[in-house]
Amino acid sequence: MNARFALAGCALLAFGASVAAASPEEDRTAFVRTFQQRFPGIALDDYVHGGFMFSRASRSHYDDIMAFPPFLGDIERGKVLWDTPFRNGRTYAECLPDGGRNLAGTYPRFSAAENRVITFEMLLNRCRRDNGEAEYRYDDRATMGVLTAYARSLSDGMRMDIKVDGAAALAKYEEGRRLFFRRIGQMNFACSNCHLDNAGKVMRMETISPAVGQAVHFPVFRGGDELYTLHMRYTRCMMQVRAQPFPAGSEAFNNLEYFHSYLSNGLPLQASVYRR
Amino acid sequence: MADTIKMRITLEGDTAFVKVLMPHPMETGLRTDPKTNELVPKHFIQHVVATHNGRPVLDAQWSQAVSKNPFLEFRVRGAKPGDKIGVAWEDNRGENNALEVAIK
Amino acid sequence: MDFDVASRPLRRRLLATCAVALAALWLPLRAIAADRNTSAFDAKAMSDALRSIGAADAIESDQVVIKAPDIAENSAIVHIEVESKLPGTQSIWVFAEKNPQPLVAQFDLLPGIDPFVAVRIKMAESAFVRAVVKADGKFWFAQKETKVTLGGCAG
Repeated sequence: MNARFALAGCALLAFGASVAAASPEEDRTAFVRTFQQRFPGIALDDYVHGGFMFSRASRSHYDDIMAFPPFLGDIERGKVLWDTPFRNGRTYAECLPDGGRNLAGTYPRFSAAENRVITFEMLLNRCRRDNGEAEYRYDDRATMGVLTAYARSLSDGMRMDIKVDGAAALAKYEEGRRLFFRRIGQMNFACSNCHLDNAGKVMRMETISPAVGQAVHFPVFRGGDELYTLHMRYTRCMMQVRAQPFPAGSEAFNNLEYFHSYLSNGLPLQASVYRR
Repeated sequence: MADTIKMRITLEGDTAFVKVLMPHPMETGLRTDPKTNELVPKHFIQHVVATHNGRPVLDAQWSQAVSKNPFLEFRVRGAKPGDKIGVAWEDNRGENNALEVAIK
Repeated sequence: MDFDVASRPLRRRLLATCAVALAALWLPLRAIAADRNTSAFDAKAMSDALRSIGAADAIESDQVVIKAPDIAENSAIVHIEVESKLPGTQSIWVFAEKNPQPLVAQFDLLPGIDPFVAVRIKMAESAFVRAVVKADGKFWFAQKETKVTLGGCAG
């Protein structure tokens, strides 16, 4: 056990020392190796269940709730938004390849033309904009929240496949990576302090989830009915460490999501799930 | 609240496994509305009846401590394709809702 | 369009559709409504609630099977299942012992239903969840301790 933690510690040191040097794939494999050494016997695919992956009892209760989850009405409202044509008669499905199926797991993507990261939610908003509709706010549960919850369900189970190609894309990835490791707020916490260094430990009666597997299962419905998109969750994390949060849909979060999603490459996308 | 009751039925042999979700706020009367700072009045489903081909098989009384958007599962014996499973509820304000589904 | 991701494991077994909302269904059902045992639902102490349903002398039985989580992931949604293996099971009650009013639900079973119910409940604090069963006029119970936590994070 001690040896295992020592190994993990070495891996952490390696992270710290390699802020600029590591390639995304080296990052991902180092994260995965660290966690798998710390949590032997847990299949990588189970990381999509976050804190539930550590406890058979918690996972069983999760499965009981997911068998008929209380948030089905929200997903249905998202489907209504998705199916309702814009005023010009076109639909979201017409904006997206294959009607939006098996797509969300390839976002965020880097757009070389714009030199910025494009998230799946931005893609939905661009479809609105291109069809003459006002864009949705990224933190509005009733619109973008339920819309993306439904739209992502069309990619449910697809393997995450985030690409970071070229120096310009890598620069955005690195920006997200720096935010992940940067200590912020009055509590002086970085994302990595909890979700890398202390994943699997219990804090305030919560088992901390590992960074690998997080970005694949949003939106979540906390308590079964309170929708949180990934960016809304980032905002909440920042509030919890008493930092001034970036807004949902901000470039800082887009870049963070780019890095964060890459860590989950190869894992099956989940849309949408219950969290406590 | 515009949501309708949702029901899923799986038939295994002659037993119908019925899962139901009933969209409802299930206010306990103990929660403070963050906007008004006042207690939200108690508002909950207090009576639920399940039927098989119109015949009641389950009669339930609930308190406000059943979770929001209540979930109920029960198992009806002697069921076959084409049979109808019904669920109806009434809350403490006298509002009600019902759904009947044919087993496929 | 099959969007119902949450039901994925059940999708293939999903047999029921043709749903028709029948608000009128309620009306004929009202006639058979059992009287609500308000004194049991209003009782603030477990012992009073048990007395109100006539179960003050209920006996613990392994023929009553209660499934509740060791730790409730969220106190507002605690999934409970109760199954009675006792012949002649008439009613099932679910109590959360430390709730302001412990009695959460009463299920009267009528001919044609298995002695099984699952329901999700709110719990005020860590407590025993107790299932009381009335079978052939006698009262039996089973209980399971469920810890609830006040969490701050979830990812």
